[in-house]
Parts: sequence; structure tokens; C-alpha cells
Amino acid sequence: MPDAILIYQPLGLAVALLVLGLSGLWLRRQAPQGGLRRGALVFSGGAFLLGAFFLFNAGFSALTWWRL
Amino acid sequence: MSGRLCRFFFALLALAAVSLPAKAWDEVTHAMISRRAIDQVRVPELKTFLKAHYDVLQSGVWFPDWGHALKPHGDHLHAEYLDAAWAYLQRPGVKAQPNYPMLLAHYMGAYGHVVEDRVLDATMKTYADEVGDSGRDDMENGMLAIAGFHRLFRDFDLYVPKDDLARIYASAGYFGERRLNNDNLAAQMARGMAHGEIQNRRLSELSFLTADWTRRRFPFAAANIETAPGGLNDEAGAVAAAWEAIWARAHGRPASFFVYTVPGDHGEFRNRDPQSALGRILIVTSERLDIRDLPQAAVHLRDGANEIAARILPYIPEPGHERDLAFLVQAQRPWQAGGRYTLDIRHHDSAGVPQSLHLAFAMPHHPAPFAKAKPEARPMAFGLWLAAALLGLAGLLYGVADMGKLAWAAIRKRAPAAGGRLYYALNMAGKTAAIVLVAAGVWALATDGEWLIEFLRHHH
Repeated sequence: MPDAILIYQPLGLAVALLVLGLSGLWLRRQAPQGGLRRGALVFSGGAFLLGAFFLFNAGFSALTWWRL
Repeated sequence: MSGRLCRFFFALLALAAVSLPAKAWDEVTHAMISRRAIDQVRVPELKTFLKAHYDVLQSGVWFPDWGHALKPHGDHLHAEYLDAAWAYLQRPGVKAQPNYPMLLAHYMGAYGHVVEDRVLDATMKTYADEVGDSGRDDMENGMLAIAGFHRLFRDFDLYVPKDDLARIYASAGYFGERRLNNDNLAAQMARGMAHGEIQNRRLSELSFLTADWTRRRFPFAAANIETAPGGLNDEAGAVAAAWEAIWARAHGRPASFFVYTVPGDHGEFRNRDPQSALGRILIVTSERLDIRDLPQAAVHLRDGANEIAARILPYIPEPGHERDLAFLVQAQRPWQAGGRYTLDIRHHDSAGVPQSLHLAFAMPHHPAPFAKAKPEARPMAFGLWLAAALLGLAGLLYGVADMGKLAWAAIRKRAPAAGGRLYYALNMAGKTAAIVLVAAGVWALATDGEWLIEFLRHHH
């Protein structure tokens, strides 16, 4: 249970956000106008940043509890 | 930010770091103090034993807190468990078990945990206000003690003597409640350990992120947690001395009953006021003593040849701790500057063996000053962590309407249509919320997230 809550859940969120970010970049290529392109780019950047946040939490939890 | 979004965001934060229980020390700190205690043990064979059973010892150190989930509540039960465990260890059948050395190491670990709690509660926590660390509590004590990345790693494999614990619990009378009986003990243990492990990992991360804030906020403990009365050095010293007594008793040798004091023999007080936690004497014992059984005539506090009235108090003023592993001696008049004092206590241990304590100490004209905290460089760890969450969420909100529109167009395989009312409303709401979150993220960076730490301290 601890691994599920503290590693796999944030890891799952990080992966989901990575997919969202990549989707944003792909959709950005379809956008004809500046506003939509900018929105998609910022969305992707946000998804990657939030993904990094969850990745850090999952990694820290794994690192500090697994016996080294 | 809408209410739902706000709740979502705080749920993310809670998932990541917060929700720590109130304890005297946290488990990461307990493990660190116990490592220090091993180094302070003066009996070579005991030190070898402790090192050889390091994993079991640290498992015992951790046990009292996750074991909370198994017991009728109350911190004094930490100590009651020790009585039941010690009685169990004395059974001839148990002594003949192959795992007896491991059970002894486990018991020593649990004992160390309880003593570490007692010393902290009676000293550093009690005098926090008078040294300028107002509001310093359990979580901050732990963070100051373990601040430093190298201390955060777990370095032992967990050992749980489940069958023996079940028998100890049965003999201690912990069974009988619906929530705890022989049938559900294994499940309750698994639940308690899992809960404890989650707390430990969260504390490790929170400590890593906010240790610098804690140092700035509580400068006394930041500078003195090692050497202050009842600080880490005293903690480890008390545990080591108690382990030596337990080791001797386990091998049928004479064992000390009064094992450690704060201040120590030939030590000094820091405060003339005996009401202050810096002007009282803390005494740690190797087995539980009921101070109601300690007659006043057995305690002699003297100023040269003159007797000074003294009171015997529980280590903290809470019911249930009269019979415990530590107690206080409080003089009934202020200490005199330049005065020299002695304390003598005569009692007997649970086996009826006479035991005595002799302690000499002084109240100097000018008590030694405490160390002053060094100025901390502006840290960014918690601010960065928080800003990453806030700015990431801001980015998602900023572009969510645009992404929706692009996705819908891609599904329909058409070029994105001109914006309708829904798009306009979502776009405005998302971008407005994003601007607010960006401002909050920048504020988090500039203040190192101090507002959130204070919020959590006051509302958790």
C-alpha cells in the first residue's frame, strides 16, 4: 500500500501528464492561429512541469525508503 | 480558482507531503538517535551484539509508533508494552527459542524509542518557549534533527516477530476489543506498518524541503539541538546507558536502575528557577518506576549540609505517566547563584535489589550561554517544489480551452472553428485562474513557500 500511494500513484500521474504534454505538442501542429498554438504550448509546458513535480515526489519516496 | 480546483490542488499537496501525526520524535529521527546510541555504548560485547542485530534493533525502535495502531490508545502504553515484553523474555521457553537474541534486540529498540520520547518531552519541548522557540513542536524537532539529505535513507530491513508479538499482546491484555484480537492481529499489523511507512516517507520529503525554513523559524534548536539539555547527545547517552543496564539484567548481572540524568553528574543548571525545565533534574530509569511508591524520605536534595525541600513529578504533567521510565525532581526554592548541590535517591528495583543515585551539580553565577544560530542562506527548495506544482497547474489551465478546441477539431478532422460562448467562457476562466496561480507560484519562490508551511502548521 505505501508504494502504491507514494510511488505508483504519483508515477502514474507523471506518465499521464507526460502523455498530455505530448498530446498538446501534437495538437499544436494542427493549430492555424497564434492564440491556439500558444495555448497548446503553454498547456504542454504546464503538463511537463506538473509531471516533473509528481516524478520528483515518487522518486524521492522510492529513494528514501528502499534500503540503500 | 474554483472551489473544486482548489480542493484538487490541496489534495495533490496532501498526497505529496503533508498529514503528519503528532509524535514526540518521528521514526526517521528515532532511527538516527538510536544509531548514535550504539556508538555511545561502553560495553564491547553489547556494542557487538547491537551491531550484529542492527536491523532488528531498528525494527524495535520503530515498533512503538506503528504498534500504536494495535493498542488501546495512550502514550503511557508505550511503556506498558515494555513490561509485558520483558516478562515474556524471562520465560524459560522463550529464552530457549532460537530467535531470543533477536527478541532481546527488538525489546532494546522499543525501549530506546520510549526513552527518546521521554527525554525530549521533559526537556527541549518543555523549555521551547523560554528559549525563544515558541511554537516548536514534534514535527519541527524531528526536522531539525534529521535535516540533511544523508540522514533520510532507511538503512535496515524490517523484522517483525509476529508470533511473539501476538503472545506478548495476549499476555498484556491488549486483546479482547473488537478491533484487536488474535484473528485480526496480522491484518492490523500490516495496516499499522503501512500507515507508519507512509508517514516516514512523507516526513523525509517534507524535511528535505523545509529544513532550512525550520532552522530560520526555530533558531535555538537549530543551533543547540545536539548539545542543549535533553538534546541529541543526552538522548543517545540515556539510551546507551539504559541498554547497558538491560544487557546486564538479561545476563543475570547487577544492573543500574537510575541510568541517566539531565543535568549529568557534575553538571550545571541553566536557569535558577526550578519551575523552568532548565532548572529541574530529569532522571531516566532502566525499568518503570511508580513515583507514588517513592517515599519523600528516599529523596535528599542538599545544599551542602542543608536539606532542600523537593518534589517528585512525572516527566510530563499528564495523567498516566506516574509510572514510567523517567521522572523529575523539582526544588521548592530557587537555586542560588554559585551554589553547589547534591541529590541522593535510595530505592529498589522490581526484584527488590537496593538501588541508589548520587548526583552533584552546580548553579553557576553565569550559566554557559547557548550557541547562536548562524544566518541561513536563502533556501529555495520548498519554494521551487511548490512553484513547480502551481506553475504547472497554471500552464494546464491557461491552455485547457485551446486544447479542448484543438482536440475537438482533430476528432472531427476539421479545422478549428471560430470561438463560441463556451470556448470564450472557458478560455477566460482558465487564463484568469492561470494568472492567479502564476502570481502564487512567484510568491512561493520569493518566500520559499513559507505561507503554506505556516498554514499547515496552524491548521493541521
